[in-house]
Amino acid sequence: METSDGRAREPRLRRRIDKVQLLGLVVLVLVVLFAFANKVGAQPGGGKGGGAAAAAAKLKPAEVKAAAAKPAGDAADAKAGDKPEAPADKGEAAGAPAEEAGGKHAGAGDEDPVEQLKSAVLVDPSKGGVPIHKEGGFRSPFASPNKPPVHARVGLLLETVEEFDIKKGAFTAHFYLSLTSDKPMPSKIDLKPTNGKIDEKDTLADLPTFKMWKVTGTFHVQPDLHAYPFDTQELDIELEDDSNGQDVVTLHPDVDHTFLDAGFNVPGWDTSFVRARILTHYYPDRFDNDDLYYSRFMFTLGVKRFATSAVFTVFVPALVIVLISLSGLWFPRSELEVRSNATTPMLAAAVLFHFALMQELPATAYLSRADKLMMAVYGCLFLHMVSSWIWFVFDESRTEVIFRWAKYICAPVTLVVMALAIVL
Amino acid sequence: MNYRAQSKRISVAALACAAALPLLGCHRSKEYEATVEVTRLSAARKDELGKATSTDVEVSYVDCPGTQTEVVRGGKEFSACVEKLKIGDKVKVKLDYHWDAEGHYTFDVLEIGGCARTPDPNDEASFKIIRECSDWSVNGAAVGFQCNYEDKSELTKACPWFKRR
Repeated sequence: METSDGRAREPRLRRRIDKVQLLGLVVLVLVVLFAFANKVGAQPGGGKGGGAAAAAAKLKPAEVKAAAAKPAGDAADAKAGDKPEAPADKGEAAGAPAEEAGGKHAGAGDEDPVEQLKSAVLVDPSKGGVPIHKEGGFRSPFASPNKPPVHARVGLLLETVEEFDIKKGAFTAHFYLSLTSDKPMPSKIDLKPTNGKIDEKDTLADLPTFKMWKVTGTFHVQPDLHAYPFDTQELDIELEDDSNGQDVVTLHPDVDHTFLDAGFNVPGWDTSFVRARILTHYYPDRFDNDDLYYSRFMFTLGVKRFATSAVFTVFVPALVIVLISLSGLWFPRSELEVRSNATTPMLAAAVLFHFALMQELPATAYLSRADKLMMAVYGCLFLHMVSSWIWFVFDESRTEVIFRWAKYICAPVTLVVMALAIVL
Repeated sequence: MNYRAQSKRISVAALACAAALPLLGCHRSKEYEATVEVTRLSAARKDELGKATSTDVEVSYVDCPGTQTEVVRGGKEFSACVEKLKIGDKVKVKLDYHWDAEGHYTFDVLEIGGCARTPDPNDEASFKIIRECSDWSVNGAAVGFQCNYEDKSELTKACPWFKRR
């Protein structure tokens, strides 16, 4: 880069700009690398399976400890992984992958497991020592072959959602939960969260065919930031009665009694949808003949970031940075300092802006839409800087040609790159 | 001279464009009429003589897909007027569809079955449950439902006042 062509005026100018630009570039590249190393380094080890799910799983022993009198070791609870969707037979379901295998406190927690275990018989101690039920559809010792199956409808009225922290992947929800059935339900029926913990629970009704609770709980979600800042987040509330298998209670979502409260809103987000479904949940074998299915009620609130806010907080600043840098291309070589000052500080601004954006979000194993936009911004700024440096590579007689072609090439390329970054 | 005239024209055009920019944010109001079924009538407040001073009227938009319900609360005159209505009556409502400061369209009920009502901006008791529900299927089996609050294409086609944007 250093020139030594002997001209009186040029060497001084070249040396100074060269150093400033080089130093600025090196520092900024280091900052960019540091920022991305920070982002990538913070990835959960197991990719998608970690993060909020792991955090949710960590909550369980504490929750169990608080709720159950049994030692935490006995009540080792874990969230099972990918769940079979009401599979036809057990063999098919057993092959399902699991995010986390582990014990579950079905019947071993605060519920009374004796009833179920009493009717189980130990057939062959050499085969694991777990008693089984010979009659009924399930061999599991937690099955209740003598109890009549009940179909219960689950209704949920979501009152408020607060403290939604996308970085932690957690939110607090206040809701009413109701269970209704045509036949009497088991007396010890209790829906417990599988992706969070209950902070407060008041029983409002406890009748054989109608039960209702007012619940406040903290729940964990895995944010999907692929489309950030135009992302839609799904806030899940997952509840399961782990003391009654599907042979006793089968849950059904109640569309007529699942609502958002009047005036419901999540600050900063637009309500997009509500979904309620039942997952016929099968746990990976915790013991021999662990073939009982459980009904898990899964309520999802879909919230969408306000598009106008997203445009003004992410896209407009990025475009302004690029446009200012682009304007530098119209300064000739005689105004090299002005030209370079239109680009290099913009790179600093872009890095800081990107860094500020990343601070609001959790680490992800992929690039969000905003990340891709910023990649395009860095690319355009780099291109603009190259259009100035290139003067020092070629002979001074080509100054005018380079000046003209830099405009002809860089301006359209910048527009195309930014358009693609916005659209894709 | 020519250059100067051209600059002037460009400046005028730029100013005109700038002046027209606010038009992009222009949101027109519209009035609609719909048929609803009265599903609930109850006095929320009564005076010492037992006369209703505010009444809730719950209506269902029977001509619209899904179950769209709205609870409308009105004052003394409205309460006296809606006494003539009965549950199950199908009546006409007048709706004022307008842009809301929250950044989306909304509508207010101005009249139910000939009973005029002036929407009160401080009224927190009136509310709508506007959503479009459909089955949620996994592996071809219906395992639940999903109710959309935003993209209600079928609903807004039949009843445009439910369109938010």
